[in-house]
Amino acid sequence: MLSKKQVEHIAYLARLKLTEKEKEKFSKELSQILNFVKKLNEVDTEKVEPFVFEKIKNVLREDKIKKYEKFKKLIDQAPEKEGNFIKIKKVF
Amino acid sequence: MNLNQLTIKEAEKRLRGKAFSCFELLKSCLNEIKKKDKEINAFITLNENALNEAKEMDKKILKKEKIGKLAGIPIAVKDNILVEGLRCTAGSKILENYIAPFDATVIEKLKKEGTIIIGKTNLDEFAMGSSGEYSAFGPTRNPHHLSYVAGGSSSGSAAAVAANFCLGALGSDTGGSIRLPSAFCGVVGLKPSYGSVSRYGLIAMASSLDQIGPIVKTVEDAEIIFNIIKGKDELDSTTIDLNFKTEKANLKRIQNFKIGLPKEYFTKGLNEEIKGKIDEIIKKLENQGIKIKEVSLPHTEYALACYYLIMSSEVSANLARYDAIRYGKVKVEEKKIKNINDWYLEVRTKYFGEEVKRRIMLGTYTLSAGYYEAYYLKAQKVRNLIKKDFENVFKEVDLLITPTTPTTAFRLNEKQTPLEMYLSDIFTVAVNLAGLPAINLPIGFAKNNLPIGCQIIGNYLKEDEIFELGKIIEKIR
Repeated sequence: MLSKKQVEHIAYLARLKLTEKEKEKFSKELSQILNFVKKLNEVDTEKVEPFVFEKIKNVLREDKIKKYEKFKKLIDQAPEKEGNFIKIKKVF
Repeated sequence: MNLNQLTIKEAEKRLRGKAFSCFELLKSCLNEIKKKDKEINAFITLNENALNEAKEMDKKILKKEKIGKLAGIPIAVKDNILVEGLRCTAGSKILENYIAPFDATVIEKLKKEGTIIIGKTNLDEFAMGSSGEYSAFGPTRNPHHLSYVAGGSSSGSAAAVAANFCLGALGSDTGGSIRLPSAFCGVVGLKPSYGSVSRYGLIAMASSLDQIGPIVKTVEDAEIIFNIIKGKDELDSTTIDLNFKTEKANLKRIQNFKIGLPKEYFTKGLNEEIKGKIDEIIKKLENQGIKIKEVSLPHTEYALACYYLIMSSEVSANLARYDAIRYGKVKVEEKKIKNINDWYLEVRTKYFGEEVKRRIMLGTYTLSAGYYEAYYLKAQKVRNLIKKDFENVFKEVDLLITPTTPTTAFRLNEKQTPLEMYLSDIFTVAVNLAGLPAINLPIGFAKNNLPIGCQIIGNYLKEDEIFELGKIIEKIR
């Protein structure tokens, strides 16, 4: 069971604000889901390795700078900008 | 028959024979959209330049210039796949004004073959949902019956194909999002093997599960689109080099196919009418001399729990990037904002929908300190067992047949709790966990006139075998 306090903490980690009513609702719903996934504890996985895609290998390349042609188009999508920079609110 | 009702294969042949023009074909699709999409709500954005593109293509055909394999074919694209210059919302208010700055690799490949992108289709927000009801742009309705859902998350793509708004569409499938709406809408939908199609330019949901695939009217059309979009892409490191020619050469004669029926997919919760239709198909296949065998995938009952943990964990990481700083303008009450942290809290709270928030929070929790081993790591171990189940079964048989969904389409607003909604994916998620290819095939209608689908699951990279069996079933159904 997830308490309202825990839900509040998780929400903050994910940068979400919740109303009191939402905290209650999500605490109920998330607990319900966590209760459902508890089912996995029935499976003995002591000698089981975690899943990997066997056919997919690491892809390596030289660490080289390549100019991205559509650079300007990417920046243009930012709501606030100055020259070639994206502008954000102050950090502190 | 109206032009918009043609299959890709037929239309392509007749366009080349100049039986009609690309412009006429597109126009007949647009007319149908104009007539019916107000109610169905399959499209979020239409490509306003499409008619010009069609005219350009007609000129090329008249001048006998070299044209691609899909020249002039109108294709719809799920609105989580980037098409340069068109808005890409992912069904979310947080991307409402985002204009795609480049083409996804699959779009680049389709455009090279002359495809006309007709528009961007509706979806559950960030592809999270099984009904199409979680879109911030309103639910998509089932073209077969407007009080029923189209299924999700590729709701608009499946509905658009079923309603003849386009000749084919692209969707994405993380836990069933191509196959489930295809089953509900009575169309063909392929989820390819993990790594066979590039996801560059797909808005990521759960990166170890996501695949792009076609939603179309026939198996042959699925094969045509798949063969165009597949292949290695240096912009998606998970793609692998495929040599399908070799695989095709090894293709067994269909009569030598052995087909497995996993018993765990035919038990409680499966609708009787769906079971009945699949039984009919099985009998007809047996009459063709195809061997059918009951098999077992013992960890099936854990697939959904395993999926929901892995998916939500990856979702929480992938959706951290939506901060309303980089992807289009949003409205914010400036006076409330003192610093960047206030900004994040304000925009994410205001512009993410409820289901997205629920999954982000679930994933944030299961990945947080002290819980990672109990949840994510445990799920990755169970996932390995699920994959091994399939490996074992594919030593005995070539392909599996299962239902795609436990029920036919349900009514709008029928599912009350999140968990109830999640159970719709019960027959589709294991395929994504194991990285396998699978297709939905329409096999008939229930008494209430809603479509019934069955699923063919193939071994890794055996799309060609799926197509072969699919074509047989299309003939005998």
